[in-house]
Amino acid sequence: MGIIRASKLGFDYYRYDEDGQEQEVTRAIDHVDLDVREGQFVAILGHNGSGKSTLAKHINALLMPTEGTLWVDNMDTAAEGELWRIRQKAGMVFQNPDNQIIGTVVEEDVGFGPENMGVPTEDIWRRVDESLAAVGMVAYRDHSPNKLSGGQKQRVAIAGVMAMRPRCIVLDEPTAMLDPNGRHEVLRAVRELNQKENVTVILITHYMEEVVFADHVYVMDQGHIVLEGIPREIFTRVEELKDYGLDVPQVTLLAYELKKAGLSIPEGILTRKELVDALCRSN
Amino acid sequence: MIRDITLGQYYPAKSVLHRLDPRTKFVGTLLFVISLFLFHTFPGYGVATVFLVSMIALSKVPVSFMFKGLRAIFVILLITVAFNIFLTPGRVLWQLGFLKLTYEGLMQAGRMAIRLIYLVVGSSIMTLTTTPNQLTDGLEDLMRPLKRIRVPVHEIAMMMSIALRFIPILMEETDKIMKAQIARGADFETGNIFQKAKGLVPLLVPLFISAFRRANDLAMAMEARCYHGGEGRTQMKPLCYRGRDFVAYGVTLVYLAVSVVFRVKGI
Amino acid sequence: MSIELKNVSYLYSPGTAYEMRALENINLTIPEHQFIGMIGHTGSGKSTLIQLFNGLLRPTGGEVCYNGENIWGDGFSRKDLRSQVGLVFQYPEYQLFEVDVLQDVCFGPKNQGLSPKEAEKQAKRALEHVGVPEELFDKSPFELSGGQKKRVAIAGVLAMDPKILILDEPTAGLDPAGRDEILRQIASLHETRGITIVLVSHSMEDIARYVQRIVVMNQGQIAFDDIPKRVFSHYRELEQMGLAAPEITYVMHDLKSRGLDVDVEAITVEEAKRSILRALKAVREEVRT
Repeated sequence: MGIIRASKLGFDYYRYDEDGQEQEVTRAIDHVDLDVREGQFVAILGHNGSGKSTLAKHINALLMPTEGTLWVDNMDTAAEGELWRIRQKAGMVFQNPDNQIIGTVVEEDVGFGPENMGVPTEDIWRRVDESLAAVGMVAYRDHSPNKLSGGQKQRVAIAGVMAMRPRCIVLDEPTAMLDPNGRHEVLRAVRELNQKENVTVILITHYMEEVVFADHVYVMDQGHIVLEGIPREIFTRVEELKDYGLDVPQVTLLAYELKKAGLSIPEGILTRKELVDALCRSN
Repeated sequence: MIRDITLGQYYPAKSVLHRLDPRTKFVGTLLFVISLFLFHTFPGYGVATVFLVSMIALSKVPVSFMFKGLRAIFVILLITVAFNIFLTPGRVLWQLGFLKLTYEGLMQAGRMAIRLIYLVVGSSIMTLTTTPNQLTDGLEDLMRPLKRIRVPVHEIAMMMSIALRFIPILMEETDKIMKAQIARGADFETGNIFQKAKGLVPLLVPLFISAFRRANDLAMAMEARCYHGGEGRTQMKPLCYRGRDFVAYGVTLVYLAVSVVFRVKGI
Repeated sequence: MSIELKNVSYLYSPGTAYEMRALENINLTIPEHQFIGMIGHTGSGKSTLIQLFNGLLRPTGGEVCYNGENIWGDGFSRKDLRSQVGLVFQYPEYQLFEVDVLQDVCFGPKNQGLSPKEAEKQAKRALEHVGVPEELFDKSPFELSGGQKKRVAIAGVLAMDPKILILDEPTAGLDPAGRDEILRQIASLHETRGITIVLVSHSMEDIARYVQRIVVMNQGQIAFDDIPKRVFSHYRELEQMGLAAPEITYVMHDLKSRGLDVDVEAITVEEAKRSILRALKAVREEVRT
């Protein structure tokens, strides 16, 4: 049984006008099935408006489905009384680094989650120490978050979630507001968490380069899951990805164009090295 | 000037003051401020100065930080001093037209200036040696008795804490918005008071919207981290009086007693 | 029209404990009709530099001249300068404030002293040039999508009819489709309006595809100022500065070092494809003979 499971999930956004009358209904998610196994690194790709962020917010019960069910560690997110346990099991990191840091000192922010959970003081410190070490931010524990770079702030946010000892972390476009260095920092930290601590990771993004190391990729468009598979499979569907408003990395695009022009190179080239090797072999 | 506000800027260091319970510092600062109004002669202010200087030394915070906060009140200080120097009746020392510089005026101005400066520096010592979270924890604890009359103490403390955290961010945002509108030809300087007020709309509307957006994001983030109000919360840095706090209380009370004595004896 | 920076330097908080040298020894000329890209690591001075172009910041050393005149000289109106040198900051959508899109775009022209009718005319023209459809004109800016908001914000500056438009990371926060859309609009602006465009960006691929000239900032100084191919040929040095060349550059260099005679100066996928195909064909022909 997967740690995160969704069955025929559906969600409608309602828009009300000034008199409280229902004006518009948008189907943000439609008929979504999901099965994420523990320890996996799963990526959900989609253009803005595809429903990926809405889906993410269902995983930690920030939103409740209008249709279908979502289970976190066999707990139904719509069930009464399970809300806080679900949120402890499935932590979430958001896009804007500033708007999720509550503490005025890094270590205090990391301790916010455990404080809310009623963890005894000594344990809070232990968790804070471990979480900061896991993301490489121990040296900054006394600092004000204002002076940190975007990548560092996001790592603090990740530590804050890790301190709750979740089984799964959902990251909703965590690198969208960062510069390339910040992006590398955050992805490296997340990969390490997945590999060393065996935390299940669900990465929501629209950058294809970030999903190269995922175990499984879902592509969303207009509220549906339109493609799924391992990265290598997904990366071969260049034309479809473009239709879905996504972009493949230059290396993959080049490989695709060369293949189209008649060269016999393998499908689903992901990295520079693979391309260079393939080209040198082909002659 | 926007960045010069010392409010909410914690200076990390390992000093005695940093290790004091925030409640001790709150009460201490309050008593210090009271003493400033009890003292009214220069020997009195001398004692206050000794107390303040020792606190500054004990805090291990560079002196320049203390005076940063003064830049914000510079104008108020100037106005207060000017008013007192020229508008206090008494023995005239110098005259320019109807402006009479009096001896009493000088004395009064001196008193006001010292009080104002010491007040700001004194409060700065507290905010520089106490993290905003500790400050709000301290305040929350001191306000606890009010819970009996249904005052939402925890919520107030949480709101203050978040406000302090976001002040520097919103100040930066104000700066950015101003620059963007100036790049579109906006003018925040010229015009009478009505024109200036109208001219603030391109600054205030985006700022408010941004603040609401942040609030929304933050609320989601807090809920995602299991925040559900004050019930059942533990504290990472629980407040606990130590020996040094009792010593601090003792020292402060002695100091306050001195100020009372000075006042009573007319020194 | 031209902007010239002569020996410009900028210090933050001079004389205090926080003194920080943001820019040093900057000599730069921005002519008309050029499409320039500016890259640099965070903290390299790019944001400071672009604010010197339109007088939002004053250099602590050196001169900034517009059409030969020192913009900080007596009697020079920097307010007028800002009509000529348009600056769009990062995340410009956060500065929208009016009741509807058209009114917001009219803000700039109105500040220039244009009549409401004239202002509307300029605003509509600008909105057309950034690809915002007419049906959105009377909508509240806050109802629009992220990409649409960005375009409205750019139109807001464009409506002042500047001779040069500086855009600081206009694609920040957009998804790939949105990014392509905005860059295409900006490139077409360069064609239709003939204005100079300065594009500050972190994406080497985007820069390589569109610009004629790249200025590389590093630790407050200009490290390179040349055509894209030449700048990216210094990819090792760029790496040391915390930057990178487009992925394609690395691929081509790797291929070359493995013996395939490709054009290492290719910086777009199209160029790379053609070069690789040509090189492989040549190898096959060699093998045959």
